[in-house]
Amino acid sequence: MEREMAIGPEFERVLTAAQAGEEWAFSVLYRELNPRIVRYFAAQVPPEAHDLASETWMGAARALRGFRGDEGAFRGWLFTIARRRLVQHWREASRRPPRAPGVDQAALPEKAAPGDPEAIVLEAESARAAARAIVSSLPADQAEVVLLRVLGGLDVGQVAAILGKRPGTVRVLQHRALRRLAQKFSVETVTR
Amino acid sequence: MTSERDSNDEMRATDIDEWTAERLLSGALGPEDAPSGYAGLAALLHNAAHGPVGHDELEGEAAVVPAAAATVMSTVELLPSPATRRSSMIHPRLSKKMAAAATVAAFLGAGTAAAAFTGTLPTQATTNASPHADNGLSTAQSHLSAHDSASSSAGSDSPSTRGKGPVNGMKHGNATFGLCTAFNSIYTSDPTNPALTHSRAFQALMSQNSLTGAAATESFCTAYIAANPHGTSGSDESSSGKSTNKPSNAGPPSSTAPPGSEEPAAGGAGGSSNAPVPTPNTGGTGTANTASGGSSSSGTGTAGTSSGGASNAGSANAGAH
Repeated sequence: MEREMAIGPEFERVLTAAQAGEEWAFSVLYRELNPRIVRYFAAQVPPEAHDLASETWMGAARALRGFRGDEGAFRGWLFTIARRRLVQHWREASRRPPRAPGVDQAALPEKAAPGDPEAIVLEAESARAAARAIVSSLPADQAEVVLLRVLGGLDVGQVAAILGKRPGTVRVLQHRALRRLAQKFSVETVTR
Repeated sequence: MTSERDSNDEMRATDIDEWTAERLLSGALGPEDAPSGYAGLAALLHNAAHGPVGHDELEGEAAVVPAAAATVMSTVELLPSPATRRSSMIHPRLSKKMAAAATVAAFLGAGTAAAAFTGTLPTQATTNASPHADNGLSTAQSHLSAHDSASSSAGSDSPSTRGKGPVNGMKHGNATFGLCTAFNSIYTSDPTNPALTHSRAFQALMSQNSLTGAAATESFCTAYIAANPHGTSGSDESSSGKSTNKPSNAGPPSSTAPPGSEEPAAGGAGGSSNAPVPTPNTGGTGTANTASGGSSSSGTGTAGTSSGGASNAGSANAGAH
């Protein structure tokens, strides 16, 4: 399936300018991708989401001159950096996520009460709440696949490469995840 | 490890076909188009990816973007290759060159803020760079210290006038030397490298020396470096106004007098002549050396402190956000 490319044909020019250190180009990339990066982190380590997002950009900047590829590849590359940073964060924090990595249930004030999926769906007008709902509803491996696919806009191959899994494994995980999510959020009427 | 056969079995077991799953995961399937029973899931996934941008999801832009741009600039291909690094362990003199190149690379990273501070950037660029400096860059602060100490002997510098005149960091001979070294290094490896023409630091170098294009700049820099072979060292005595005993070198072309020759003593030349260098000759050599050496000590300090500022800025910004 064709992935959405928000920057589109201008991406190559933007990338070249960013690789030359042009701030306007970084702004374009940042505005397009940072919300998704923040959501990716916020769904898993809410308190550190902004710090980790910034560190992801700095890591990307250090290696940007060596990047070659299109917009889709850039997304995959950036989320690869983001995930590595997340793994590093977990390692540094010396904590292993028991179920959903790093999810602090107490830090989800906007999360609806369990058993109230419709409320959660309606709350999903907050994109971050939706991302957190995904994480809190799935096992860690399934959640990670869904987040990378949905927030990163990555295809199965890219996610498999990032996670070090086979594409078939990723497909299994995403199907299990979708089935589980569909059962939990089987709301026929959505107001938005 | 799940096998491909498991994958197929799993897909047969679920009632979500692959096409629908792909559309759901890509956010292309809205709740109104979702098959029966999947509207909620479609809304959830769609909102996660395409929901409105939160008020704080872009709040770091003012800090992250300039820092990231400066980081990219600091990674200009000046760092030694592994082979060079190995050889530098054998040849201490090469190590010094690599250290100088690394300093220049870091200086380039701080170039935006430093140039903004010294007034060599357009207003827009200055506006963009200022928050960078404010967000933990010690570049401007360090540059200020070096600049003040250099100009204190002339007794004519204040924050209100700093950067307005011809005396500024970019016009110091040392800065020109460093930029020229960096420029030629990049040009030699890749004459089409966009950094040569897009870098603000290089653009400032070109504009202040009335240069057009990378080739002209390379010619200028080659001549400049030849005329100032010790541009980053050994300038203490000249900066203090003493005459130098530097060996004779061909000066730069008469059409491109070294920037240092245009600078008044406030740039740290400490009494060196600010007369232009019309023609390279033995007399001109002395003049050129004085001009370049006069500013190289402060310039070296500037580059050094700028590099430290740039590195700190990156870390500070990354850590703060």
